Amino acid sequence: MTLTKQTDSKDGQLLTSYLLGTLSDAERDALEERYFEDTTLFEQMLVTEDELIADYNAGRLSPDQKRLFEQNYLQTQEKRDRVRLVSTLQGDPSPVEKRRTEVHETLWQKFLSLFAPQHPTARLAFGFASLAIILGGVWTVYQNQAMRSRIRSQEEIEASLRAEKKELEQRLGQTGSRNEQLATDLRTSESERRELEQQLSQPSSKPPAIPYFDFSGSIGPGGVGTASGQGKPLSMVIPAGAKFLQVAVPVSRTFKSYRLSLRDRNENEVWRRPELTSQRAGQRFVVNALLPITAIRDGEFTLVLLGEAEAGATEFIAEYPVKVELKTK
Amino acid sequence: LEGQTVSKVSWEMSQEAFDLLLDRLDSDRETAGSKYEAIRLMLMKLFENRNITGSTDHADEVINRLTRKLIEGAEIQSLTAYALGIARLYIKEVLRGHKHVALEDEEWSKRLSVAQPSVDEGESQHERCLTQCLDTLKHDDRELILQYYEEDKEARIDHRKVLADKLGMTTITLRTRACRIRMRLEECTSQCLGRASSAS
Repeated sequence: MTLTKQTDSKDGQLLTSYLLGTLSDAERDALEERYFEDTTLFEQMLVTEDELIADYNAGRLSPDQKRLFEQNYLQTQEKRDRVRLVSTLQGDPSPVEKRRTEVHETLWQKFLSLFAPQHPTARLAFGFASLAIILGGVWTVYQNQAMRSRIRSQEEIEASLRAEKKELEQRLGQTGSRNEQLATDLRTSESERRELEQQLSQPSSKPPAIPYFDFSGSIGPGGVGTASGQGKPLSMVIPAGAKFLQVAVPVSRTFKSYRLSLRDRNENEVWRRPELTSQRAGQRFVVNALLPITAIRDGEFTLVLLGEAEAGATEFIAEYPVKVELKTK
Repeated sequence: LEGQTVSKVSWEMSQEAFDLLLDRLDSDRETAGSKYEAIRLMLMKLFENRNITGSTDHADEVINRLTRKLIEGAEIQSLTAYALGIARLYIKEVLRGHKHVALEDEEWSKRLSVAQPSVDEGESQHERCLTQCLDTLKHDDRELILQYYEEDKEARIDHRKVLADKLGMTTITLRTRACRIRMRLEECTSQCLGRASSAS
C-alpha cells in the first residue's frame, strides 16, 4: 500500500468519525481547519458522506455505526432529505427505474458461451455459421436503419399532423367560447324583449315611457338628459317605474357591427350589447340599444362604443361619461 | 438543532461588495466564482456537520460578515481560514440561543420514520420531484448517477470500479462526480418540493 493510500484510508476513517460525530472538539476543529484549506480533503469528505448514506440505506453499517448515524447524523431535516433522496436512487421506484440504463449480461451471451467449440472442424463450421450470422446481422441492421428512417419520416408527419390538430382545437375552443358568449347575449336579449312586450301589452295601465338618451345632444321623451359639455358626464335622470332606457349613439365610421358597453367607475363592465347595427336618423347614423334599468344604479358610468370589424377585431370609437340618477317617485 | 435563530447583522451584500470579495478571491472572475462557491459549500457543510439547520442562510451570513471585514480594511491572509474563524464565532452565537436536548427514543423513531418514509403522498411527490430533476440533468450525468447508485448491495466497491473503468475515469473521479450530481439533484428536489408545498 502506498503512503497516499495509507493517508487516504486514515483520513477516510477520520472523516467517517467526523460525520458520525465521534471526534473530540479538538480533533473536529483540526479536521475542519484542514478541509477548509485542502479542497481534496473536502471533496473526500463529501464522498465519504455519500457513501455513509448509501451504506446506511443498504444496511451495511455496523450496529454501532448505525446507531451513531441515527443519533448524530440524522439530526436535521436537510440530512434526512438527503438520505431519502439517496435511498430513492438506490431503490427501484418506478419513475427512476424507467430511466435506468442497465448493463447486464444478456441471456443471448450466456447461450453463445455454451457453444464455444473445442474441435477444429467444429471451429470452422462455427466460423461459417458466425459469418452467416454476421452477414444476417448486417442485413438486419441495414433493414433496421431503413425502417427507422421510414419511422422517423412517419413520426415527423405525425408530429406535423398533431400540431395542426392542436391548432384546430385551439381555434375550435375560441369559436366555442365566442358561441357561448353569443348564446348568453341572445338569452339576455330574449329575456329583455319578453319583459318589454309584457310591459307594452298591459292595457289597463299606461306604460311608462322609455327614457331616451341621444348622445348627439337631443333628449327624447320620457327622460331628462342634459349634455353638459364635452368631457363632463351626461346627466341621465330615470323616471320611477321605468324598466328600460334607450340610448342612441352617433357613429361616424362604418363597421360590420357595433358593441355598446357600460362600465362602472372601476372599469367593470356592467352591461354589454354586441352585434348592433347602425340606423339612419336624418342626416346621420346612430346605434340604438335598449338598456335594462336593472343593469344600472345611481352613480357615474361610462358608455363605450366599439366597432367590430370583419376579422373579429374590435376598435374603440367613442366613450361618454354619464351620471345616472334613478328616481323613486 | 432545529429552528434556531440568531440575530443577523443588518447588512446586505451590494454588487460592489460582492465584486470586492471576488477580486480578493482571484483576479480571474471565473476562478473567483468557483472559489466563492467552494467557500460557501464548505461553510454549509460546517453548519450541517454541527447539526445546525438552515445551512445555506448561515453560510451566506458568514460570507456577508467576511465581506464586511474586507470593506472595513481588515488584514486577511487566507479568506477560507478567516471565513472559518467567523463561522465558529457565529456558531457560538447560534448555540447560545439554543439548548441542546437529548432526544428520547420515541422522538428518534419519529425522526427515523421521516428519514425512511412509507409510501404516501409525500413520498410520491418526492419521487415526482426527483424524476423531474433527473430530467433536468445532462444525459451523461443522469446515466452516471443512476448507475452509480444501482449497486449490488454486497459488492458496492466492485460495482463502482467496473463503472469507473467503463466510463474511463478513476473511482475517485467517479465518486466525486456522483457526489456533485447528487448535490445538484438534492438542491433541485428541495426547490421542487418547496414549490409543491407552497402551491398546495
